[in-house]
Amino acid sequence: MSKPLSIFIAICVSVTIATAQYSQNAGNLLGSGISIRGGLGHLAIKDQYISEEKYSGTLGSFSLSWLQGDSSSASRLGFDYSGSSAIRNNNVSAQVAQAALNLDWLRSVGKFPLLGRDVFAYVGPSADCFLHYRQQRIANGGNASFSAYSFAMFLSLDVNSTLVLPLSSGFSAETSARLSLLSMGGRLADMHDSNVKFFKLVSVLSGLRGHTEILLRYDLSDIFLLKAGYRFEICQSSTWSYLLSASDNLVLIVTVRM
Amino acid sequence: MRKSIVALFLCFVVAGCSEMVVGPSGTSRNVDDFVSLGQLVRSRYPFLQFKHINWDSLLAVYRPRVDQAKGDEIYTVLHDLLAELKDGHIELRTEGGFPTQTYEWPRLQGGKAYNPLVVRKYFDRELRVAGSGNLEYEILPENIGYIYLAAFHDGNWVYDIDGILAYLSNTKGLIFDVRNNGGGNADIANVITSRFTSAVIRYSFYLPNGTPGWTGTIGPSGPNSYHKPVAVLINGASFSCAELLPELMKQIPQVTTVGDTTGGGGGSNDVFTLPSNKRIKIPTSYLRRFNGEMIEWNGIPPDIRVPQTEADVNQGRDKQLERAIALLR
Repeated sequence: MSKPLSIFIAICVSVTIATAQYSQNAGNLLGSGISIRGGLGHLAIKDQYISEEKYSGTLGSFSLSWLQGDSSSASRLGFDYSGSSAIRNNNVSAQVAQAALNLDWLRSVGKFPLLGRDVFAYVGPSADCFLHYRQQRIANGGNASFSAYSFAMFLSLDVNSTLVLPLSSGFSAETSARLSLLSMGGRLADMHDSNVKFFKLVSVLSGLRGHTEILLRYDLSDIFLLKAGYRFEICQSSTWSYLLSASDNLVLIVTVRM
Repeated sequence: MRKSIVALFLCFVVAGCSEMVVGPSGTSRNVDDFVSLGQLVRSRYPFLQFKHINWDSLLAVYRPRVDQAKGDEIYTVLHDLLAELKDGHIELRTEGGFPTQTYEWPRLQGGKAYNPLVVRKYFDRELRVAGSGNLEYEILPENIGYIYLAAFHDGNWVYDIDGILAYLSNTKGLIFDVRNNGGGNADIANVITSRFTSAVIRYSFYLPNGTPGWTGTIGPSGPNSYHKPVAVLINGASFSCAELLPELMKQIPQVTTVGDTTGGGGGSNDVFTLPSNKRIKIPTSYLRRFNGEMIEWNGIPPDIRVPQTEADVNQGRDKQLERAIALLR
């Protein structure tokens, strides 16, 4: 993982943990209810199970989540899907599908001042199940087809954090991050190597999954919330053939308060 | 304040974090891969002469495509080049080891004329499974034993054959089915043949220059041998070691092969790593039939040919199995 990104994620998590004194109404600040997220972005992958070549292309994403909060804590259950029908390396393409099921617990750790306003901070553990599948489209020579594919999965214990900065009436800004600490990883590896293990315990150093996002929120009404912003996701594994997948996404989230 | 947030947001989007994090592709080794593959096939592949292939001419034809190929486009070029060898054993593997075949031998289509569910209709009880799932067996109502061998994977599972032969010892004949078996390790064929033969059988793998290399010697072995009539079922999807086995068994007097000509894969393979870490699996030695004919492309013809179509199977009939039952009844 690049140094700037590591620093950014570390700051998101550590600032949240290190600051703030007071409990706040988490349900209100984080937006209790059912949320639907749609996104469009850019995906770049380097997967040495296939080759050292980089593939990149447009990525569509969808998410459904449910957040329930009280005065000082919240829990969130979410399902994410993202996919691309054609990431490319020159005139070769591949199909990618990624899915995740995650459960976050967020606890208020207080607030701290920023630019003359209060920033409310939440932090907590997460559980995350992530699947990555890539179907290669290479060659159709003779009368046999080339249908190589690659697969990775992570069952992770994560840490997640959210910072909320209320702005003027109806508007607020928030940033959140989630980072896997310890995972049970699975990966399609060389099936001709009898010593290979397809499942291994991987640490944050050898198998990383995470995301960070920055959103602008607008309370449309007492029922609807609207958020828009940028989301960055990463999946990296060096335990087997090296895999690095990263995506930039512009996202739009609609929340129905409950 | 709002301007700051918008500016920060735009920075992230414009920066294209994903591209920055993933970085550029690795250094291309496409030409090195092509040159290495060319040398390997020229020096190790044993069928160039038999197949009348002018390999250097092919390399010259494909070289412009290699020079033009960018990134993973090389997979297509190498795949097409290897497909010219028309060899069902050859695999092009990704840098992580995913195998892809470059050629589908024509008689493989014969595999559609086989269905294990149709085979089950000839039994009045469920087939037993042994050998880590590689073996199925049971006794047909006609008191004929039946063994299906699904694969020739490495392992000690093959010794389950001894228990199976004990179970089938009171049958009046045995059907040994290797249809739709893609082959594997020759040691499995040796162990099985040793349970049926009364005499020593010797065979050789030949090197590219035509001289014998590794030689196998099979003698009677095992606690439970079977010396009653045996029908070995074969078809076009029987490949590689599933062709070696019927050819060995044909040397045993009480054995008859029934079905259709096997696929025609006579090579024994090695895996080589190309400079980029892509791999190729190619034959480096080969088998001949006991009459000297090449197994490659020709396959093993059955003693009793029983044409069978997909339509037959769809109608619930296995004519090859029926013929074998009639032979042993």
